Amino acid sequence: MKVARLDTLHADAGKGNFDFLKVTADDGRVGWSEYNETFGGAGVTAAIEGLSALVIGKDPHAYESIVATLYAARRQAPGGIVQQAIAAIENALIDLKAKALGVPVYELFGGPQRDRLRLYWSHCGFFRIGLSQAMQIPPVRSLDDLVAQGKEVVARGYTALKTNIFVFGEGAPYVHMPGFARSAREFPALNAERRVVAALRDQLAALREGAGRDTDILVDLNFNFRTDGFVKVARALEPFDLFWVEIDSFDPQALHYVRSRIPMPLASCESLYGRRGYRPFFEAQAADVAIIDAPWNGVAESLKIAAMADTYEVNVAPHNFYGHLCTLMNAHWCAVAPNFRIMEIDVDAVPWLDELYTVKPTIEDGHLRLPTTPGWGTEVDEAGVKAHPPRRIG
Amino acid sequence: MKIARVEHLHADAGQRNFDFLKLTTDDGLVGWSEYNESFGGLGVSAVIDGLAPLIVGKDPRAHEAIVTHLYAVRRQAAGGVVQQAIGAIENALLDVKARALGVPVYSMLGGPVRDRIRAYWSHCGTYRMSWWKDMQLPRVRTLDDVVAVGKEAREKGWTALKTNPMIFDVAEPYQHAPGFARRGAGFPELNADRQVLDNVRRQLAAFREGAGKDMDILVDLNFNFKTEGFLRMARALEPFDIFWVEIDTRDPKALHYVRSRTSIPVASCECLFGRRDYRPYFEQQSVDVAIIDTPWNGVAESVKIASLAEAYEVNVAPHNFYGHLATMMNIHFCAVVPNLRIMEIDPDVVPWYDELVTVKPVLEDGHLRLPTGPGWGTEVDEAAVKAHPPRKR
Repeated sequence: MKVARLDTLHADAGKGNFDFLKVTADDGRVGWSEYNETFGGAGVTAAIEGLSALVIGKDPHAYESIVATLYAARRQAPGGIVQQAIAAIENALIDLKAKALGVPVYELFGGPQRDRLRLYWSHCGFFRIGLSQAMQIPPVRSLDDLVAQGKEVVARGYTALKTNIFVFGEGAPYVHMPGFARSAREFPALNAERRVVAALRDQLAALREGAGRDTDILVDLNFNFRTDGFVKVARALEPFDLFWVEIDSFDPQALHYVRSRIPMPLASCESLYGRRGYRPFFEAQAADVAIIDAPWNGVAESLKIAAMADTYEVNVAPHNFYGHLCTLMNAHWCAVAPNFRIMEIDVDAVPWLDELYTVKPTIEDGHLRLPTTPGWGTEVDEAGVKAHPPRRIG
Repeated sequence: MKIARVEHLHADAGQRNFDFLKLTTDDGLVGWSEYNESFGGLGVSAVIDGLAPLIVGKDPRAHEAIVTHLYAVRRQAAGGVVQQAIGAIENALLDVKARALGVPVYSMLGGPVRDRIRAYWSHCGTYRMSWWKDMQLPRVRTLDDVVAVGKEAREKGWTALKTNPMIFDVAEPYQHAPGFARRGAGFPELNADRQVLDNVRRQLAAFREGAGKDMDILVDLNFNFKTEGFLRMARALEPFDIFWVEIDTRDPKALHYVRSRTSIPVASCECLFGRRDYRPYFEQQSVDVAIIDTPWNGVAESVKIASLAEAYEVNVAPHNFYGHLATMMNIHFCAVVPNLRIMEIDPDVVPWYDELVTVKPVLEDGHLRLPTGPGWGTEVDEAAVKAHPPRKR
């Protein structure tokens, strides 16, 4: 079997686009992966196109050899967009190989350790604040709406939720996201000002009231502060009995310092690439949970990172805020990694999300059921994608 | 598919035995692995027997879940003989699963990244000095014999050979192996005294004379010295243009110290178990080449160790001084890891060595070819094993 062609497809996701790579073999078999150009990834499609000549004519069964070649061909600009492109190719090759062998992908990696994966409702309240119209989901306008959102999480069977930082009572409510230059205030200083800390405490009180004492609550601070701000905010969250606080910092020692001074477990690393990117964070004892973006790293590389984390007695969790295909790609490696903590999923999505795929993930009682069909267990519905053309992303 | 039976078989290998694990599934598929009780491994079969009830009835395709379970139930005595047993089970599970899928194991592991593997003649001269009688080999007694072995290696197409320190200036020449409490002086002090240094210099001059300037020569010092002695030995070897010096020590910092003070690349780690053992050696920048024993660790775990090594820009090489099945298992490992340095193989073997497996590895010009059949690409010939019953040792 040889790779005959690579094609990319794109669909509107309301909050950006979903991007898909389709690898077709000379025998007509197809392998899919989902990738993402919307969040820092603009240019991945062009990087894939540039690499495609090195993939065409190769046997997808030997995907490690192909990935080693692609890494070497771009060795002078590793990570970032290049790695996102290599990973998209790796993931599509893995799907192709698993389908050719007639097995689910997790069988290629030693089989499942578990058949259901605990989920957390990610970006809880986030999309409802700023994107309710674009995504056609109910709005969140007040702390009372957040109480209701917490209740909804429990009513729909979820056992955990993750939220970001919301500010109410200063005009239109907004998501505090200066780390990505999304909010004018506190950018580029990234300081933890009193009003933001107070707003986050009010927000968590509302979510705890709605979700009750048995729901695990996670908070994602992203890149929104610097070292002193992360410590200050995390300490202010101690009364809310958090499952983890998520902190992105590019300095492993700084992150270790934060972790050693806060009362709750720390998750991090979602924006890192490859074992070489993670290694200093493990050596510095920087995180309790290493978050791995499998669409960016590739599922095979993600399992290598997870195996490395295991030697440092560190747990792993997937970065999964994409479409259904990514959710299933993540399910496969999470099923295999012994040191799996919990899985992210975006419950709030555009109404046409299911139309983009042939099979949607099965979720029961806040857990994802492992698929059992060959490859990822779903494919892209090309007609569905065509019916929802991508938006122009700035 | 479920595992129905767990059995082990044993064959005479001359200076030791070869040990094989056989897993049979309820639908009649068989998976094999080779393990070894002879060098520090006594008791592995008993440990396998103890773990067998935890495997029977399980689906071999979920081998990671099985291995995770076995590790957990023996967590209080991790490594050592327990890990050798788990490694043997993991390897037999890999064979079953690959056979069920109809693919070679290297394909199941994402490969291959290469289709031929450079090999070195290991224990070159060593077995002919220490075990010539048990293994029915031509004897090496003198430095002239060493020149002849070096010449033979070149003429047979080898591009690299590895030897061990030998003492010639005595009535009965012997391999200097005090680290394993073998015969001769040096145990338990493990020092690099003048006599050892002189003998090894003459031995390497003889190998270089016989093998010629294009042969890569590797020297294995095993556990035979301590830090000071390893460094003295390595420096004594520097004039002989050595490919690597192999040093086993339990202290990663001491090994880093030796490595930083010799010009020869350092290979080590063949007696370590699992990623957790290797990690400090990587963090301390202790080695140029991390040697991995795949029968001990399991091939899947070995690939994980190699991927950890790669993150430290470190090469790997297999520990492979067993039978053909272990060589095949190591070929699959070597076929998959990008950061491979070179592969060990023992060409000096007992006359019935080839009989023990159905397909033997293909060696051409000092390189091994990848097998193409499913699983490991070979199986144990049970009739031949029965014809060569193990010796009591």
